[in-house]
Formats: sequence, C-alpha cells, structure tokens
Amino acid sequence: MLIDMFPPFISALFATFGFGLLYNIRGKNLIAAAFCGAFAWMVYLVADHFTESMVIPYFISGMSIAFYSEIAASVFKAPVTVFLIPGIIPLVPGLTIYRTMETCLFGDVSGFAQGLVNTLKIGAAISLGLILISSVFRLLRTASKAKKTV
Amino acid sequence: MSNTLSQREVLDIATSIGFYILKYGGETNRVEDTARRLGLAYEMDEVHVFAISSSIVITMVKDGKSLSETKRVIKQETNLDRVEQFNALSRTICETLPSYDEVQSNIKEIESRSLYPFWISVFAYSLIGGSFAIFFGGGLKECIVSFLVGFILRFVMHVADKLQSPLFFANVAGSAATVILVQLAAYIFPNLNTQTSTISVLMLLVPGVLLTNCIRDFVATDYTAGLSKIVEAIFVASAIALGVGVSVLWR
Repeated sequence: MLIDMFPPFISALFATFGFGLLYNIRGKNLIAAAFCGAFAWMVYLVADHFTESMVIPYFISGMSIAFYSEIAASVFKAPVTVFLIPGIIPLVPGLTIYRTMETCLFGDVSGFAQGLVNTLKIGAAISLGLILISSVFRLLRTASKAKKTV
Repeated sequence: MSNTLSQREVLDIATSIGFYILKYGGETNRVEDTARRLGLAYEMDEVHVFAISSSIVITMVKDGKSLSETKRVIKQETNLDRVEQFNALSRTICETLPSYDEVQSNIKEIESRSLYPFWISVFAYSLIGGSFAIFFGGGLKECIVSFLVGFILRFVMHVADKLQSPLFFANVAGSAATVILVQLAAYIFPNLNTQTSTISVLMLLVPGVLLTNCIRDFVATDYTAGLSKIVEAIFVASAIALGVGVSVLWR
C-alpha cells in the first residue's frame, strides 16, 4: 500500500507546488503549501481505504487541509489562505466534474443528474470539513483575545 | 514615538492597504479586519468597513465628524506573497504607529517587490499538467502530452490576457484549446487516454482562490461576498464546459 501511495504523493506535491508558483508564493511558504496539498491527498487515500463511503474521505481530508493550514499559518506567521488555496487543488474532483460535463453534452440526462449530485456532495463534504475546523480555530482565537483584554 | 495622523491620512492608509489585500486575493474578512484595526490603532472613534470582492467602502468617525472613502477593484490578480506582506505591514503599523510618509514608502516598497518571471509561470503550467496526468492514473504518454499542452495553454491564456478578454471568454478559449490540442496529440500517440490528459490540463483552469475564499467568507459570516463568489465560480465552470462542448462538436 505504501508503494502505491508514492506516485500520487509526488504528483500531488508537484501539482500543488505549481499552483503555488502561479499564486506567487515564495520561499518557505511555497514548500509548506506544496506539502499541504500532498498531505491532504494522502489523508484522502488512507480514509478512502477504510471506508466505502464516497463523501467521508473528502470530508476528512477537507478537515486535514484546514488543520494543516492553520498550524502552518501560526508557524510561518502568514495568512491561512497562503497554504489553504494551493492545498485544496488536489481535492477538486476533476474526474467527476468532467464526466458530468460529458454526460450533459451527449444528452444523457439521468447520468448528468447523477454526476451533478455527486459533484455537489463532494463539494459540500470538502467545504463542511474545512468550515468545521476553521470555525474551531476562529473560536479559539477570539476566546484567547477575549481573555487578554479582560 | 507614536505619531498622530489626521483623519484623512488614516483613512487613506486604511483604504489603500485594504484595497491591495482585496486585489491580491485576500479574503473579505481579512480586508475588513485589517482596515478596522488600522483605524482604531490611530484612535478613530468608530470605523465601519464593508468589502465585497469588487469594492471596499470605509467610513471613519472622529470627534463627531465622519469621513468616508471607497475604492473599486477592477481586476483581481492573485499574489499571495503581497497579501502576506501587506498583512504583516498592517500588524507593524498597529504596533508602532509610524508617520504617514513612512507608511506610504512601505507600501511602495511592497508594490515594487518582484514577481516571478513569465517563464516560471510557463514552467508551472507544464508542471501542473504533467503532474495531474500521473495523479489521475495516466502513464508516461499522458504525462508528456499534458505537459506539452499545459505549456501551450500558458501562451493561449497569455494572449487572452493581453487582449483583455473577459474572464468568460478566456476560459472558453482555454478549455477549447486544451481539448483540441489533446485530440491532435491522439493522432501522434495512438491509444492515448485523451480523457486523462484533458482533465489534467483543465485542472489549470480551476478557480482555486475563488473557491477557497468563498468558503472562508461563509466561515466569517460574510454571506454577501461568499454568494457573489459562488456565482462567479459557476460562471467560470460554465465557460469551461462550453469550451469543451464547442471542441467536442468539432471532433
């Protein structure tokens, strides 16, 4: 299983690195951002191995990117989005979206509906995972600030 | 060594820093938060900020007199390095309260930071195309084709950008070019998995900043800003679909 995970790890790493370059991220942040995408995809693959569900792995890896980005942001003293934006790219379900588009073009209505629902489900799973963790960190930040001012 | 600035100057600083963060792809909440902190640090009585992805409005109240300024963001260009720099700048300002001229020169300094040269973005496009081919389970053939198509796609997007084509058309052109080029490559490499190659290159057009900032806006309860980003994302997605559709008809 470990050997199977090597090509996806490297390819996710390079793809995220490429997006980091496009978004003009520099230095240490760029390396950390690249690992964010690779890490999220590894979490996805491991989660996918243990569950039959389509959306749960996306939910868990959505949580993992948010977690990674929040930690990296406080380590490197940079905005969270520097790591989050490139990191989310490998999770975008390109294959599902493309197939949905194809079924739409060829007039396969039921296939299109199915694909659309799947895409929305995956999108919702990723964003809910992300929102959950981001909200927790936001709460922690405001709580610690409130403590300071008291 | 804290300086006292006039209301006008504080407003000017807050508006320009907020404007730049918005323009370079910062989240709405970050923009509003930054501008508010800057105003309060310089002892304004009240600071009200409203930002959406295309504009920022700031009103500051001092001694019962209110002053307001708005800036429109015409074209966003993602540059997370500058978002980080402006974010750091606003933190230092809040701590040290420098003079107006000092802040202006700091802003100029960040604005003159170098961008990656064009060939780096060409390399990035190729790298992303090639990597995603492996990522989606393609072999060496798919990887090479996606690498080359990604390389060409950068020039297509560059021309679209130079002609100041609308976002919609640029995406239609980009995705149509991708599909056509991959189809052409299939003549050279028989039994090429065209689907894998096409998707790998189309991943380049995914509006990552838009999607992530949209989610972040919802976390921060900026529903207006988030909603406008969802609409924009659907718009971009339809443009890509249209481009694929046009070129499939050509086949």
